[in-house]
Amino acid sequence: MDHDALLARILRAVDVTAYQTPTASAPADQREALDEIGRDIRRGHGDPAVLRARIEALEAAGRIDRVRALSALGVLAASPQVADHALALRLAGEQELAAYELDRSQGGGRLSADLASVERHRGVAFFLAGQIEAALDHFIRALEHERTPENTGNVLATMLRLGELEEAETILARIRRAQPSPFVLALEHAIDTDPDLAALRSPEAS
Amino acid sequence: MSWILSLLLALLGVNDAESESGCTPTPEPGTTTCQVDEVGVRSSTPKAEGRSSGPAPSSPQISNGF
Repeated sequence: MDHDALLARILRAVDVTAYQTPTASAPADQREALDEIGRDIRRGHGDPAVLRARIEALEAAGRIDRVRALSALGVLAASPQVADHALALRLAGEQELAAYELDRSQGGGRLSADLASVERHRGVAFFLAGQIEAALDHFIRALEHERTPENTGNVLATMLRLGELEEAETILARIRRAQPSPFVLALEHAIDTDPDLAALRSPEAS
Repeated sequence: MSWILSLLLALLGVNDAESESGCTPTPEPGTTTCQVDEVGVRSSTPKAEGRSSGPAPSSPQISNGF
């Protein structure tokens, strides 16, 4: 038995199931379609070309707009199954332009959240490419655009990756004291479930 | 205190860390001195200069929300 190949398959399965693609920051009327796409991306099954076609079909059917379609294509490109980080970064650039165009044509007050999505995708692409400091820069920009538990968790995870444990603990302690309860609960959940944030778990929780 | 910590605390809308933590910059660049539970003081460890990017993580746990 080829144990190396077996281990590689196990690690790949673990990596794929660990890839998180929440839809909380997307417009409510498009989350259902994005949830379907996100589920398929996380499973890592099937031909990526088929998934790309599905995303484009959802856009053509009006279930997601251009910004969300480019976001979904970027999430797919950065996924462990595809791991095309350069493509993910190019798609983030297209998504950024589409976000400004959508804001100019329709308004709606979503520009900041959409730009946070762009910076999050850039951060993930750099993170997965091993460019951790560049990832932190983009995750901080995402947090500037949209103060959410997801963006905060990405910043903390990246700081831990850089060995900034003391700073991450200071930020977490301040968040626990100052942020509203739902924000803290969401962040605590991420810390309890995300191995990259394990260093921030309280002793009694580990 | 690192610039990252100051920036993040400001972004998160929480109070200035230096005023609450008792940490103050020292003349030596990149270091601070902090009060610890009124028992003593500790000096933070200066960060290594020019941190290089690490290897690609084997398990991507970063959240890539739409």
